Amino acid sequence: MNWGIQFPMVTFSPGVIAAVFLAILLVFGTFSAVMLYLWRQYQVGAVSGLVTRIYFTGSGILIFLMAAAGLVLSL
Amino acid sequence: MIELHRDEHVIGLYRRHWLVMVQQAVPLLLLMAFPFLALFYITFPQVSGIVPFTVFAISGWALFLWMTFFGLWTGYYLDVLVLTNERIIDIEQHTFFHREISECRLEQIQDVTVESHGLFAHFFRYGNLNIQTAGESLKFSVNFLPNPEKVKHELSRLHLEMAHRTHTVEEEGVPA
Repeated sequence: MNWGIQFPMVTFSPGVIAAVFLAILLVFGTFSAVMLYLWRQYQVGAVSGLVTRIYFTGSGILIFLMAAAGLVLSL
Repeated sequence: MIELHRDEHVIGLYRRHWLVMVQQAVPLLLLMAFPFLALFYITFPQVSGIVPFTVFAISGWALFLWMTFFGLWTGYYLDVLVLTNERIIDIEQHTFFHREISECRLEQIQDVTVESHGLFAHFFRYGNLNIQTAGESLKFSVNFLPNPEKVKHELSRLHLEMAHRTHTVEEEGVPA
């Protein structure tokens, strides 16, 4: 079923896409640094390396998808 | 990190029930489904770059939810009740930069209560553990604790052991 809602017409400026991507990377980097610090500083028992791997693998895939899409948009 | 005293060892680490984490993850899963539902119900204009833009937006949204999930997991993981052979340490991680640690010696415990409310609590065997201590009327409350009766028994056992040890030392007296 399609409701026929029209998405507004937008133009994709490479500069805006790059700025949004960099802002997201900055937020992600800061957040991850704080979280890793907490895991290392306050761990009770041991935070499994598996959790760290899952977090960074998942994030890596999503960032790669964003970067690839952003690149295609900018071309 | 917790600094343990000499001859002190950790008996158990208790976190909230895993169902708490599931409960927090379900809304995130629903939010993740939202853009895919939108793809079905919204007609996108046939402009060049709409597909990569959609991939970019959905990946960004997924990354935000992914980070939120791990932020919640951090709170869940670092919120812990540590039971040692000498004391109880209750660590509460409210937010990333708001941490509260309270502790009491086992001999200070006056009363331990276990509460279990509702169908889920009985089915999944979790409940609240309330520890009333002497002195400044400090009260520890741990909610959604798995097998709270087991923890209560462990506490009672350690409390008795501690009382027995103290009594024995008093009877033997301190050498001059």
